[in-house]
Amino acid sequence: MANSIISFKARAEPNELIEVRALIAHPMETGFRTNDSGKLVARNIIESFTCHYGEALVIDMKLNPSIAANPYIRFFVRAQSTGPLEFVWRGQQGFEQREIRTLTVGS
Amino acid sequence: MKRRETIESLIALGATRLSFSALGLMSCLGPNFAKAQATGVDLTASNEAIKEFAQGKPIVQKNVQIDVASLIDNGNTVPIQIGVVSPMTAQDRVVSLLLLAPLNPVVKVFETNFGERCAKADISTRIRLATTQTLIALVRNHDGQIWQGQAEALVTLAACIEPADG
Repeated sequence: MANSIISFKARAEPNELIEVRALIAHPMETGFRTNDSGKLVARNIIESFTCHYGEALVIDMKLNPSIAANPYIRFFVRAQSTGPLEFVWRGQQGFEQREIRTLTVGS
Repeated sequence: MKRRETIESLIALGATRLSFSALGLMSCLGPNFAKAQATGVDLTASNEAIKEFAQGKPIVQKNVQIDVASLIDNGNTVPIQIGVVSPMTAQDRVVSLLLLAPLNPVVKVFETNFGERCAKADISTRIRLATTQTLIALVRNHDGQIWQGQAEALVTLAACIEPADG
């Protein structure tokens, strides 16, 4: 399991626009670098990142080697009712990681 | 913005041979900048990607803003923000976004679909840039319209093609 950091407001008002930030540790090896013996280091990247709020999709991203190592993504969600935000990263070499956080809405 | 215009106008005058002292830092970047803008740059992959995304629809330069540092000291991690002017209601929203770096080895940087719960068409991330280039963001609106925004990025340290350490 790679280290990941997900952050968003601890408690949101109903209908409030909140910023969600997700960071995961991953080398995002581009496949264009060479090692000391001159051999190409094979590509190894996270290829997709999705976020669902409850059952509904927030964003669904396809990532390519041009995304920097330790991919950081920031996007926006409108808080409606308390529910799960589910984050899924999928990549090469069978990389898959799911994180679920609760978005708490209402005072 | 002013500095970029200065460089552009100087290059237009064929002034790339101005003395180092006259341009200072700009001259270090000048030749690289000129090369990126000169003819001979291969934009085939980028044009293909644009065609594939637009699917024959006309591309309108509006509503798409790319926020990236104009001068990038490290191409390995370049913060970038792409914002689209759109109410993002159920009836009036943008559907997908594609970011292109035409001079990177893989021109598509990322693509995203905006789901029904995405309240603002605004994505920030960090990308790699191999060289100075003009980034292109294409957006598909719910009605099929294609919008485009661009931003120039001057890169002093290239990414992607560096040898690994150790």
